Amino acid sequence: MAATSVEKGSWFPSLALGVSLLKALFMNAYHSTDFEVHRNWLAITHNLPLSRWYHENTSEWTLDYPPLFAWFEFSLSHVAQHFDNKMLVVSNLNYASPATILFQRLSVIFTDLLFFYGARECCRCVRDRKGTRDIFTHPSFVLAVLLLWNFGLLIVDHIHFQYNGFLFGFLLLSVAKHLQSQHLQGALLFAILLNLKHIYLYVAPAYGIFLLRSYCFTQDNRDGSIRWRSFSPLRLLTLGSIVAAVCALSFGPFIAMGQLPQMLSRLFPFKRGLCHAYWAPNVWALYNVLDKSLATLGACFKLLNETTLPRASMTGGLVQEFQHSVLPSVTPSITVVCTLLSILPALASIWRRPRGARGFLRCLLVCALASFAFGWHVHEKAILIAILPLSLLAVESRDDAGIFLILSTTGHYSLFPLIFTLAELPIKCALMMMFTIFSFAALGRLHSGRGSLLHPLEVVYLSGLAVVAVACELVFPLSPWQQRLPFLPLLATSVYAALGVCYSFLRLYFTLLRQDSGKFKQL
Amino acid sequence: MKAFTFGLTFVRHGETEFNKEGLLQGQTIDCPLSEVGLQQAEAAGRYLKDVKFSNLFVSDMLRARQTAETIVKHNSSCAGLQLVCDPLLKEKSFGIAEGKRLQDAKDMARAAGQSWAVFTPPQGETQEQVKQRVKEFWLKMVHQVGRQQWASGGEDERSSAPRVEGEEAHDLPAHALVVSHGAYLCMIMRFLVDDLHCPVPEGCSRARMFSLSPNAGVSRFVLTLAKEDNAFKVSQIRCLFVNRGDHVKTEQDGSSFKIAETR
Repeated sequence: MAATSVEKGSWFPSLALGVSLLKALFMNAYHSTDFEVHRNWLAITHNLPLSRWYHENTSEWTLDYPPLFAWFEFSLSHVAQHFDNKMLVVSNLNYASPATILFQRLSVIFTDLLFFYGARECCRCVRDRKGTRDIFTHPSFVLAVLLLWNFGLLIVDHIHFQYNGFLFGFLLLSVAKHLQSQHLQGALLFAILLNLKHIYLYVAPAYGIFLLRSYCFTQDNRDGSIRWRSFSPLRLLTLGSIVAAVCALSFGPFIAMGQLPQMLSRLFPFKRGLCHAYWAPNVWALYNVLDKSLATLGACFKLLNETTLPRASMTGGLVQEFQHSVLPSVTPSITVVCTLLSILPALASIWRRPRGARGFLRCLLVCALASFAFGWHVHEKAILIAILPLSLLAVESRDDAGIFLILSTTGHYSLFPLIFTLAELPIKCALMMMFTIFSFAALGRLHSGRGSLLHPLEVVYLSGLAVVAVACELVFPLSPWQQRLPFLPLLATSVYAALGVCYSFLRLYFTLLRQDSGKFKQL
Repeated sequence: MKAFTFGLTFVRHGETEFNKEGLLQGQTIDCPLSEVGLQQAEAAGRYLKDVKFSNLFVSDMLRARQTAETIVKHNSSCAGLQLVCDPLLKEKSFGIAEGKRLQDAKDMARAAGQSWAVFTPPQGETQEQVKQRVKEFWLKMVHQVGRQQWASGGEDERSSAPRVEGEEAHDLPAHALVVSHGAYLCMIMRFLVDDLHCPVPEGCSRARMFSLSPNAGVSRFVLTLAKEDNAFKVSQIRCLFVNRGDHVKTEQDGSSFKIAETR
């Protein structure tokens, strides 16, 4: 590839350094339960033999990530012992000395280096514009800022505390490798990622179909349809062995000890409810609200007998099972079926007319959003799996930039309830404004020339977000309903954001299917 | 002075029909576990299946025995252990209020001009009497565990500084399981905190510590026993967690609304 502006400028290291220093400012911010989760995992992996890792339950935060992440915690624990030995004692529940917190915060900032590397590789894959002096009209620069300074990652990783930057580094690197046609490396990275956090199963179908279609079948017919005879068993075998080797390395020791059922019950705790305590803005949030409204209306108009309705206690704050009152109850199997049905058209489209790595990326996004929309017990943080890769498409195409603006603003806003303390309110509002203003300005500038990126109705919807935000953060706490209906702001945020997310999902799907019927673009 | 650490896990019995109806059982009502109660006991058994117990104590009432038997069934380390049924672990007696609703008993207290916490229904046990039983059971248990530990060559290599750090609750030299009843367990908690000066764990309040454990709820403590003359004394005690009930599927309603569960 021709030298891009990434090599020519030194702005990437400056951006990276700048955001790392910004992260250091959040050292003493809100202390979430995730600190205790990871401290517990550090202690378990450090002290206990392998056979106890998935059985230990002294703490309520049991190990529920795949083995490679446990090994990651194990290596971190060796650094941790130099900060504070006591955090590594398993029975030291809720131990949180300043040294412990310092170590944990620094470890996230440090592991973000992998994210920087992944972002850099993605920036190098983006088609650059020639002849412009202004760095703000370089797609790679805009992409770098959208990725490195992403609002969602900043608050989820550095205020709430998680290791998503590290994990997304793998995802972005894998996508970049596919864009550079190094499919084996991309597959290897994804296999590692799956064994680090199994939520990425959301996008595994896209990988599977794409690699099978575009890598294992080496040639296409002239009209783009599949040429069955070009099937290469060697390639399939190589791919399969890479993935199998990674999984064997990770799960092997545990299967040998016969712990597979226990591990599966830890990794997939389906006894948690349909929705998380705070509903992710997905289809089920809308379904719940519909059910609740129908129940209330029915009781109001005496169409339904209130006492015979099963109690629908879904607006409680803790994780629980759900039973719907009026509409049929949703089970895990229903969610799996819905998700699979919703991604089938996308997968079929990629199979029939492969569009190279960018088509794959689009399909990945559709899978991520579909799983978000229909999944069981989805966390609102999972929206980042869709927002981050979408940035890549946004800097290259107008339509995608429009979708990105809606999805990222809505998705980021839906993360607001995650950080609910008063001290962090100015921080999250300021960061959100910063990112939103930049994304609108930069993408607008990048794709300038043919009018605004957003339809007027879309602008109205996004402005409505600001109204909901003000209502939930400022007006509601001071209103008389705060005591009686404490769940109302969450409900409002969830439902309003769900509309935006579902709309972006449909628009993205539409662009994917539209490309299928028209001319397909080369890589 | 030699010392060793041992773990202590308390479990409240599973749900009975009376629990479901909100009726007091006390000592005269000795009913078995309901369907849900059996499932809760199974859940507790699965939750505790990897803990290596060395001693098993259970109240001699049917609901506690059923719960303990279910837990033992799931645990391989309990295979050769004897389940000690002790009348000292019986539930507090509520006298004439037994079989009545909790609300009626509270009305009785109010009629007598006392708060429910200090009220003794006629023919029932006073708090002092329950505490006395707790103390007797405690001495008995500590003595039994200590003697057993010493007899099995229990010279602690780490005895120079009896610390609780560095011990993992599942690999302690001894671990006792005690299955008992709601009001009795509340009294045990008070005894541990007030008399033995056990510090309240981080993130927990005294009120929560002394509240009623959910059915099949689990609490865990780690203690260090030292041998003084011919008796065993507790030189250090720590609470790991108290009244944990999330291994059991429970109905929660929206009254306590927190986002603290986010991950």
